[in-house]
Amino acid sequence: MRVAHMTKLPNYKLNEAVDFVIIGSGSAGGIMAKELSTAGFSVVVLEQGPYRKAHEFTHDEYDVLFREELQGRPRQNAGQTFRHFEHEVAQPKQQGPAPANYASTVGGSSTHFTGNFWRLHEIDFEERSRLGAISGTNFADWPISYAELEPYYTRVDWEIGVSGEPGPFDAPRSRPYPLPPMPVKSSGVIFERAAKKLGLHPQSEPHAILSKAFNGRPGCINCGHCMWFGCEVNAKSSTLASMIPLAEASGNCEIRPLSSVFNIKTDAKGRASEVEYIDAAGQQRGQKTNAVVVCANGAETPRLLLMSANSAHPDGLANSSGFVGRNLMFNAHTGVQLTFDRQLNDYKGVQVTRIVHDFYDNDEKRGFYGGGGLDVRPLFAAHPIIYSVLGIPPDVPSWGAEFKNYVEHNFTRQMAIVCSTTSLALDRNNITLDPTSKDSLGRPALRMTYHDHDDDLAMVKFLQDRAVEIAEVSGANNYWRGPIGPANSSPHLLGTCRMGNDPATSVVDRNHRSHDVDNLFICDGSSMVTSGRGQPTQTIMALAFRAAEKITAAAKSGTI
Amino acid sequence: MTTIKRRDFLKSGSIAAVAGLSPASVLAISESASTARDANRALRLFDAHEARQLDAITERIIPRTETPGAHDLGVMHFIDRACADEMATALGFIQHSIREFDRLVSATDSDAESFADLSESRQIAFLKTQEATPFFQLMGMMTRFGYYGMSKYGGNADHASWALVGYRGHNGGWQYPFGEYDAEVHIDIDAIVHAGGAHD
Repeated sequence: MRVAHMTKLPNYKLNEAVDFVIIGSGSAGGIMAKELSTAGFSVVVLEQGPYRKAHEFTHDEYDVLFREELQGRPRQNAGQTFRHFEHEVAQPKQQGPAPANYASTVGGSSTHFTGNFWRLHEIDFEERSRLGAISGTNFADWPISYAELEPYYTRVDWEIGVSGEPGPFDAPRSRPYPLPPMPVKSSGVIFERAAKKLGLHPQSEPHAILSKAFNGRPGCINCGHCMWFGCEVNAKSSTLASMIPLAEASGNCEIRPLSSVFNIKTDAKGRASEVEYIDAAGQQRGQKTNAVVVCANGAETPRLLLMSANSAHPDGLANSSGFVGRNLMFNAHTGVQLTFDRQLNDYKGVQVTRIVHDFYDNDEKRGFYGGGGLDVRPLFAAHPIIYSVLGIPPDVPSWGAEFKNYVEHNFTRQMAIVCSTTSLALDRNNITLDPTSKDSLGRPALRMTYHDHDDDLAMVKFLQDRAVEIAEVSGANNYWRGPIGPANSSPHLLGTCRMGNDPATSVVDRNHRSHDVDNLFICDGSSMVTSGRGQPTQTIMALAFRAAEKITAAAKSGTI
Repeated sequence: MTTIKRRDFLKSGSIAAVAGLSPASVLAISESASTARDANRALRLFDAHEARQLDAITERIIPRTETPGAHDLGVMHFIDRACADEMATALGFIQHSIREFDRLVSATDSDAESFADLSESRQIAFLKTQEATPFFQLMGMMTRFGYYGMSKYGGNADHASWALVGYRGHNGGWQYPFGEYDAEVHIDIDAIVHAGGAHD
């Protein structure tokens, strides 16, 4: 990859309109920045987190997992409140990850995600038509099909670097993966053997991690710090590693880290004209612009649109439908943990090497809506502190000699089968502005209201039962079920500004232009109409490539 | 013990971690290192009484067995450092809770004035009555941080606990096979011809 060493980075003036302000630099924003800047447009990217480079990422479990180094430390958690239902008063969480659990750093959550990389299937885009309505939900088709998005999935594969091989249930692809899958780990060997005994069809896990050198970046060194950590060698295909350098090399893209947006201003014609933010020094700034692309994630995007309410848009920007913030979807999760006699040493390498997609599709015989996937990974048995907190079976004490001996013996002998499912879109699951709490910058706190639909919890229980069947024939010397229950935190923040053809029931059109404001575009997890089955990042990236192409075409034809 | 000798102990501990020495030898090294550390490091926040209580509590959470316990790996130093820094807001709560422990113990046991005075079995019995309290849960977390975290935070002297659990996660990258199961099927990635090529 040609890097930006010799490129002079632009320094745009605040009071001279740039072509685009992009808010957020993550999975969608990083791609948007690269695409629009290399198309010749002047671009300012406002990112609330710092501009960490690969060499600044660490293996420091205490700092990264327990002090939320990449999530902005207390700032993020202090700026959020949570409740399960709308009749409750939302409260700040006293412990555990923030409700909207995302990375605040250039590259966003693409820097710290696990790298699991599932495309959606055809069914995910048209399930409402195939299955019919589900009462009490906002279950809907997407305005685009898998076939329309497929070329952009392929661009993701080849432009950021994806490793994998097709599986038996995958949707069709127009081009092979650019890189072979990551080699199977001990957890994958055990899982594959057991799943095959049951007649299932285990397949390789695709990764946004380079199995070999690609585009000037090195292949994975198997350090074992993919999940939750940033990649120190740029083998993880974050937008920080893959897209941001190209955006900066264009000479058209200025990235402003530590810039927290609090308002998108509209002018007398009702167009977005300026983006107001608080800069690294705590000063209020306003960047004039010809158009705005919001890529701030499925929690912060609706929060910003709601914060940007003005007399012309009293319920929030782009919110004439009332759908801004609604239909939040997490993907429900649970797991089964297993221990073995011999050592797996699964703390080495990527988390997941084998998955099962036999239960991806809905099946009426189950008696509830949903579908999902199983994967196998060390999960907690990758890092000693979190293992000692969450890796211990319920019948082993949490302190004392028995506890200590358990940790010492089993850290290298444990793995987990993780279950991920659909989430149904519901009015009651949403992002709103907290009426009383503020964040450290004085903005209204992000208020999350979430309680999984009964079908989502039934589906994750169904998958856990299948995982137990696999555990039974796996040769494990012990296994136990993880909890199933309503979630109060998620890294998957989906559905809150959904795409759609009908302005009454969606926030953006099929090309990510907001129905209400012509020069305001929104693209990130919030665009998704359904949740998929558990790994949304490649879809977010594919949407970003597609949206950027549509936005570029509109800009070049003078129709923004 | 001189500083130079202490450095030698820490160095030998590093070798132990890499070489995967037996738990007993790690324990021996850690005991020596622990003695050296205590001699050289004063606590910043806690007085002798408080330190003795915290040391006793954390030692029950991760006790010395055939392998080093919380005391041996300097968990107390993690707590002392953390309470001066990122967990400063917990300091008052911890000091208050120690006094509360003193009060509870002396009220129920005429021979003891504090938790640390109790025999090991009575310490365990007492802590079982405290398992649900925020203080005990905080101690459980801080003991883990100090015992299993990076030694730069004050505990886990020379990362000895990592050698004990079999974790060597800071050594950079790894080569396959990783474990005993993938060793049975391992395929050299460099030998894989472009895997996707056969599938369109």
